[in-house]
Parts: sequence; C-alpha cells; structure tokens
Amino acid sequence: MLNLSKIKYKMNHIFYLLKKEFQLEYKNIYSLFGNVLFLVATIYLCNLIFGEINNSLVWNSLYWIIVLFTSIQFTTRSFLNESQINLILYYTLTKPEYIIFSKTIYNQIVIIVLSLFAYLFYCLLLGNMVENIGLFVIAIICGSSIFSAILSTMSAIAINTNNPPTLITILSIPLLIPALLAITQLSHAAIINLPLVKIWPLVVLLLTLNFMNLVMGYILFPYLWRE
Amino acid sequence: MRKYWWKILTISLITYTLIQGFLGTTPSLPILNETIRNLYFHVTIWFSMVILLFFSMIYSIKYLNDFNLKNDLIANEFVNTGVFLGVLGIMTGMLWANFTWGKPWVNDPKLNGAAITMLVYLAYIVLRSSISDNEKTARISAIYNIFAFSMMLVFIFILPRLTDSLHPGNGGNPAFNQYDLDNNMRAVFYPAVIGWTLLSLWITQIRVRINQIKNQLNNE
Repeated sequence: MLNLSKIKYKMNHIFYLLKKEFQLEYKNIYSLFGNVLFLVATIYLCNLIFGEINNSLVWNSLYWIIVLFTSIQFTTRSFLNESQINLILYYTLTKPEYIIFSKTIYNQIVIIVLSLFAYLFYCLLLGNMVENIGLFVIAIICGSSIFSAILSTMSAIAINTNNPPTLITILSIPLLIPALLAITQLSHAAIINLPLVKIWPLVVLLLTLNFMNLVMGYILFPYLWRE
Repeated sequence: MRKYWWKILTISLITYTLIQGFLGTTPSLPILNETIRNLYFHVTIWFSMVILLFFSMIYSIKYLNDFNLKNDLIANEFVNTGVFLGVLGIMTGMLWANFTWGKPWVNDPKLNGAAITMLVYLAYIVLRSSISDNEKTARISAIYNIFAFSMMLVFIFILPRLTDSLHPGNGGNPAFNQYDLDNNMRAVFYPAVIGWTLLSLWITQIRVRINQIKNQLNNE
C-alpha cells in the first residue's frame, strides 16, 4: 500500500490541470474552430484537386499529411496561449511534470477528435477506403499519442524563440518522420485489411517511441521551466 | 610532447589510412570491386560522427548540471563538427551507392536514418540562432540536444533492424564481419575510426578556442 494517497493526489492534480485546459479552450473556442475550418478547407481543396481517389497509398498518405499539419497547428497554441503571468502562477502552484503531462493528455484528446472528424469529412468528400475501421481507429489513437508527446515538448521549446510557429515545424517534423512512417504502415494495413500477425512489430515500435518521448519530456521539461 | 602526442598520432593514423585506402591491397569482390576502399572513409567518418554527437550530448547534460556556458560552447562545436562529418559521410555514401546500387539515393531505412539525423541537427543549429538571450540559448538547445540524440539512437540503430535494408548485415545481406572485412582490412578500419575521431576532436578544440577568444573580445 505504498503511497496510494500520493498517487491519488498526483492524479487529482493532473485532473485539475486538464479541467483548466478544457475551460481555457472553451473560453477561446473560436481558435479550435479555426483548426476545424483549416481541416475542412484542406480536405475540400484535395477534393477539388484529386476528385475521387482510387489508390489506397495516396488516400492514406494524404490523410496523414493533413492530420499532421493540423496537429502541428493546433499544438503550437498550447503554450503560446498562456500569458506570462499564467506561467508564473503555474510555477508557484504545481510541478512542471504535471503541466507537461496535462498538456500532452489534453493535446492527445483534441488531436483524436480532430482526426476522427477529419476521417469522417475525408470519407464524405474523397470516399472511404478503410476496410478494418477498428484498426484504423487504433492507428489514429497511436498516432495522436505520439504527435502530442513530441509536439507538446517541442512547442514548449519553441515558445522561447523569436519565431515559434516556424520553429515548431522544423524541430518536430524530423523527429516525427519514423513515427509517421510506422503509423502510415499501420493505417495502410487497416485499409487493405492485413492479418493482425503482421502488424504487431509496428504497434510495439510505436509504443516504444511513445514511451521514450514521454520519459524524455518528463525528464527534460523541468529544465525548460526554470527561468 | 606530453600535450600534443595525440596530434602526431592523428596525423600518422590519417596518413596511414589515406595510403592504405588508395594503395593498399583489398579483396576483389563482385559488384563492390574497387569501391570497397570507401569502407575506410564512409563507414569510419560515420562512426566518428556518432561518437562526436555522443560527446555533444554529454556536454549538454553537463551544462544542465552546472550552467557553465563553456560546456554549452563545447556541445555546440561538437554538433557543428558532427554535422560537417555527416555531410561528408552522406557524400561518400552517395558516391558509393552510385556505383553499387546504381543511383546516389535509394529508399533505404539506413539512409532515412541518416537524412533524419542531419535534419534534426540542422534544426538544432536553426534553434540556436533564433534565440537572442545567451543563457536561454544554452539551456534550450541543451534540452533539444539530449532529446535529439536519444531519438537519433532509435532512428539509426533500432529502426533499420526492423525492416529490410540494402546495407550489409540487414535483411538477408551478409553482415559486415563475415564477408569482406578480412584481417587485412580490419587493420586499416579501426585505426581509421580512431584517426577520423581524433581529427574531428582537434577541429572542435580549435573552434572552441576561437569562439572563446571571440567571446572575450566581445566582452571587452
């Protein structure tokens, strides 16, 4: 029974921070609509350019590129939105580890919602090619967790620079390439309905990458916070 | 003599590598033919790049421990030299690939790992130049450096092993040790690794000194 109360305390802490994130987002709900509008406009543009897509590879990669850039756009805001006074307030109230965890979880939830919405709209305009929808949703969940783990840390790094939106793209895209390759393979497996045996290594790889990212964020974020 | 013995060692090792690399006897193998000599340059330069980037990460960790700006300067210079070696490694690799695989760039996990590594460290350089405050530059770039190196280990050592690669030792291709690295070549290969690493350490040392003098002149 070691430290059960302590763990509960930590969970409560993160939960409150998460709640705060949602409330803040609700207050500025128009910026989330901005992301949704970006998705809609991009997918419509693809519809105009491609018409109907018959090639599953093209379908898949286009979808993930759209989701990637929407996620980058969304997570850029996650630290930019906080005013300097807010940051100082958090500094006195909580530990940096809790903040990065709450931001990561929050970003993940929103990215999942955004990519599911993107999927629905994408199907509407460009046709559905996915045969194994369950596996596709798993791919979305894996993808969003890696996106949010890397992008949250990178946006925390990028707010310290002169040009955050550009820097977050430069910093995170190279780090995201391997994860993105694995995710596109996973979702392509969902599209052509591969047997499950073949995709285990991919899932393991994604989980490892995700775990490493979280650990690195957990270790390094307190140093970012120190001013 | 006590202080510069390693510089003499560097020069002699590099000279040995160059002479052996261009004139030494090599096993004659199909497809590879004479391009096997590139082993002394491409592979060894790549090795010493990874060693240098590792040193850079060590200095970044040191910086986060004691916040001494000298450590940050050293970490930065290690990355600069490492990126330079990376460019050399990619260029020699492209030359080699052009003769053995038919074109300079093929879609291969190891090549992707190399490209990603270069992108990550170029991003590091851009990151450094886009922060105006010195202390802040040091702290933020140290954090990114540690993050980048640990990811790079995954990219160039774990990812290529999961999928097939054209490189030796992966996906049914014979491994490095069993096919061409006979003892004759081994006697050049390892000294070459040490030689290139020492040479790049030397370059880094000079660059660190230049920057220290520059900083001092700026302060005066």
